[in-house]
Amino acid sequence: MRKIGAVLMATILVHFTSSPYGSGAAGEGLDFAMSATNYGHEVIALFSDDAVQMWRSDQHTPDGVKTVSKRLKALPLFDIEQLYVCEMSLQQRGINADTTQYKPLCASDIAAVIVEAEHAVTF
Amino acid sequence: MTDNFSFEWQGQQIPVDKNGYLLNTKDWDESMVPYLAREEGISLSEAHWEVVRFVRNFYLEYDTSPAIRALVNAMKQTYGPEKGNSRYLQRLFPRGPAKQATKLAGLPKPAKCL
Repeated sequence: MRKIGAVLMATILVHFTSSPYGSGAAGEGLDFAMSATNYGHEVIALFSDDAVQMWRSDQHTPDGVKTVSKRLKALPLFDIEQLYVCEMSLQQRGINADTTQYKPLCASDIAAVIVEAEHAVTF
Repeated sequence: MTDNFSFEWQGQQIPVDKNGYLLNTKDWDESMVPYLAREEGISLSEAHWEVVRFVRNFYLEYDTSPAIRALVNAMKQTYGPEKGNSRYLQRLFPRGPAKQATKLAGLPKPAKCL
């Protein structure tokens, strides 16, 4: 851990696994990730399983729910720049998101990302 | 919830949370800003208006209230480092730029407390 002042800063992996609108998990994960950077923690985001649907450009947002694709675009402004997406989950769901915002990873690279993080939180 | 908070605006009750943030972003109107600013003890200048409109647009674009870091980063991208820095914003909004600007812009409080 890096020490800034008297506060310990950690690298936190926020692992998204849930579909964008099936539950509140995706939104809660985004809130968590954005909050964590406010305290100076470094946040890495990983999207796998149904969470890769968060990257679909043709999202239908239910009433009263925030649009996940809009919120993803805000992540760099919160200094969350390391965004990894499971390549296999994308292929299984036939998703070809036309964005360069994230980096697709194979299974062994994903394992390395998880091992490197000091903490991992799954949503 | 047993407590309900609201203020009257042009004959309508506008619901807010216990900290004075509008519960429905759609209730907001630019004409409310001078009133909301007075409640915060801020005397509005053109510089305040610029930030209030900026955070409102930020919210419309990203569906997210900017916390201080994101506000500084976004302001820097649009207006350059003279306005995209926390000292400039802190001078305009002494009780916390992200907190006060989002309140004046009728937005939810930025997520900060876990």
